[in-house]
Amino acid sequence: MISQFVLLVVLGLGVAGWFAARAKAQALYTGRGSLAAVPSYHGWHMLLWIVVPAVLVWAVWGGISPGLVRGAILADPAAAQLPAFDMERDAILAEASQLARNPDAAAFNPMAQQLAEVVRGIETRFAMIGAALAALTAFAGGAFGYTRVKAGFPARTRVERATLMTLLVASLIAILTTAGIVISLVYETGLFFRHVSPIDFLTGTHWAPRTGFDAELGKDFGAVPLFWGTLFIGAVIAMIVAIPLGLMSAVFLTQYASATMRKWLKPALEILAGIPTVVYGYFAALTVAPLVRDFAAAMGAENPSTESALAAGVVMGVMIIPFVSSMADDSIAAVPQAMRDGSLAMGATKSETIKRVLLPAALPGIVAGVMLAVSRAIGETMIVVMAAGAAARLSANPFDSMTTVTFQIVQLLTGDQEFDSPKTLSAFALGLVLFVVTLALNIVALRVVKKYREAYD
Amino acid sequence: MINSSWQAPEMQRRLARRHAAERRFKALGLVAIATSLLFLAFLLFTMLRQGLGGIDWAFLTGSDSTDATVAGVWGAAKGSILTMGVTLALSFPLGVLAAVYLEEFAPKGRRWVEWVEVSINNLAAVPSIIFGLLGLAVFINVMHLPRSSPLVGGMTLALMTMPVIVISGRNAIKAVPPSIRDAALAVGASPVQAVFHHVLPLALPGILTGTIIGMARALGETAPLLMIGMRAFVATPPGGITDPASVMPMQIFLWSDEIDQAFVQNTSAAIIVLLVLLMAMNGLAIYLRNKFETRW
Repeated sequence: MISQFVLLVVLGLGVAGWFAARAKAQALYTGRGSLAAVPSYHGWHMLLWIVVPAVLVWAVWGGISPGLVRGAILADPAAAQLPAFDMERDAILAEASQLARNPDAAAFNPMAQQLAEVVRGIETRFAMIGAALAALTAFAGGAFGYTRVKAGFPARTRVERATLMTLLVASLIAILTTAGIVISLVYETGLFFRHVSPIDFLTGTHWAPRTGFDAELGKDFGAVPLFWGTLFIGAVIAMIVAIPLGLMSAVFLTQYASATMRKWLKPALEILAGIPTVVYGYFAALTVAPLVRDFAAAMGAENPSTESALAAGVVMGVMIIPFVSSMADDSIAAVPQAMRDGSLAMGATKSETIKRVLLPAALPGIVAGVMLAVSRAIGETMIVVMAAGAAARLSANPFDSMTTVTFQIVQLLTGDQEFDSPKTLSAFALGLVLFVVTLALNIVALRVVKKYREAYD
Repeated sequence: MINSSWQAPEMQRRLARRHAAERRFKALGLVAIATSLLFLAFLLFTMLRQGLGGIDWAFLTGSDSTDATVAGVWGAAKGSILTMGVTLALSFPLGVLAAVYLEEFAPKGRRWVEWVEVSINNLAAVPSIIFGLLGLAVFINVMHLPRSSPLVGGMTLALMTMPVIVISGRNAIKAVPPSIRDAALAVGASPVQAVFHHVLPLALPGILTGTIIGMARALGETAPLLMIGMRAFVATPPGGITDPASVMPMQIFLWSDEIDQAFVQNTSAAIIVLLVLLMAMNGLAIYLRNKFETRW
């Protein structure tokens, strides 16, 4: 509440400063070339001097004030009878500050109720100090900025330098995100590997995650069945569906379809890629899975399960079709026209040209596209969560229920549990494996595509 | 010795065989694309048949409930709107600014610029659930932001959407011909002025198209939000971005888990609402592209 108020006031001061500085600069104008920068740039320069330091001060205050508030509360006589035991005291303090913010809430601990009034007073006092500091900085910055409005001052250059800094910071967010992913995954995985050896994790075949730490923990965290389930669903079943359908769709669209047909069919195919995965998951669980089960029963399987690798894999494959199709489309289009013309001129039919010339020439690109498709399929979550099942087993029977890495991550991290149990930590280890594998697939695929493009350029 | 004249019966048979193979191959292509589209039609038809009856005013304005007959989709829709608001407010400015920097101002051939480019391309291919793990580890466990809130959900999705906006933004900026830039510079504009006053406005339709497509993807995303706990049972629409909330795909997921058969209709109805929204967004993107696309 007070935060928004402070920001609004600072912004208001900034706007006022903008007009003041522009007015001053306009008054300095005496003719062509008398000012080094247009008056509005002086305004922007002033606005930056008011807003940026004030917001920085407010942010820094937000970082250090909780510690100061805590110290002040503990120094208050009302806090004297608090238990000395840290955890208990923290719980009461947290409740008191909750009460201070929301007076209607019911107090769980009577001591917190008494403290609430004190806490509110102290918190308000410190927020006021912060607001005053921010306002002071805004005025100081503004005063400094105002003295800089002179005829010869290069306000535009300064403002543009600030603009470039902002652009630079924005582009560094991408690196920060990547670093954040790597650091958080590696850190939590490191904690996990303190209790379970990486070798047990990567080669064990028994998966039964549980809480509690003991020497036998490694025996229950063997992730091989998860890797197998992931590969079987994402790289085998889904690809058996997606590669032929996607490839033939691409061939038909690029080689046989008329311009009008292509104009309608291609966007229609793209719709498949735009449907949210949760919808596919629901469809797989509700419609495809019962069909698969009935089919399995008709084939003579004994009580086939409702959740099957086949249902999840087929639906996932359909989801990937447009992706495979557009990758194949690109790589077929990249084959030089001369090769196609040469084949046709020798009397080969269109399909012979496609099968003997175009597809072999486009093969590296298609393989790279398939690798990207696999990396998508193994990272796909909702379809397997809703249709593949939770049983970790090593089986090559597509009618069995099977589990995947992504399913287990969801399973391990939803629900209420403490954050440092081996169960939760193992989810991050699985996440790291997933991240490394998809990254490797992508890097290799992009390299193949690049090399292959150069070969024909 | 085969008679090699093209009128010889052997040659005729051979030709017929080759032409038959040609027709078979073409039919195979048609079958492939028809199969894919039939699957799509089957999916849409199933959802419409199950869900169309469940869409009425009460469903569109109600919130989640344990009773399937009064449960509605508005609570989740409002959560989606708030989350998308946060995502857009973060990823659009950051994405556009990063695209401008990388395309116009970044020093060429520097090591760290390459790192930025590589990480943007890789982030666009990282599975969405990994972003959820990042959000859980950083936003919730380190920064202690409120769990299940549109704020955390929006921030997580913004990290996921930003690479999409950067990539489409760079392509749109690249498509603006250098003559525009040169003309601005020639009449005395500074490089920053040339970019912000002339190049960026011309690239904006392309950037917007990419942004809408990225937002549509974020709107349908479930897995990362599952990680940060946005599966709260929300009986009243969230009031602000720090309240516990659910989003539309999450509502679909939660309802699909209900044992009560009456929720099947609700789930399908919510799917119809979500698909209509997504198609409207994609339609808008296509409209913008067709309307403002300039061939230079």
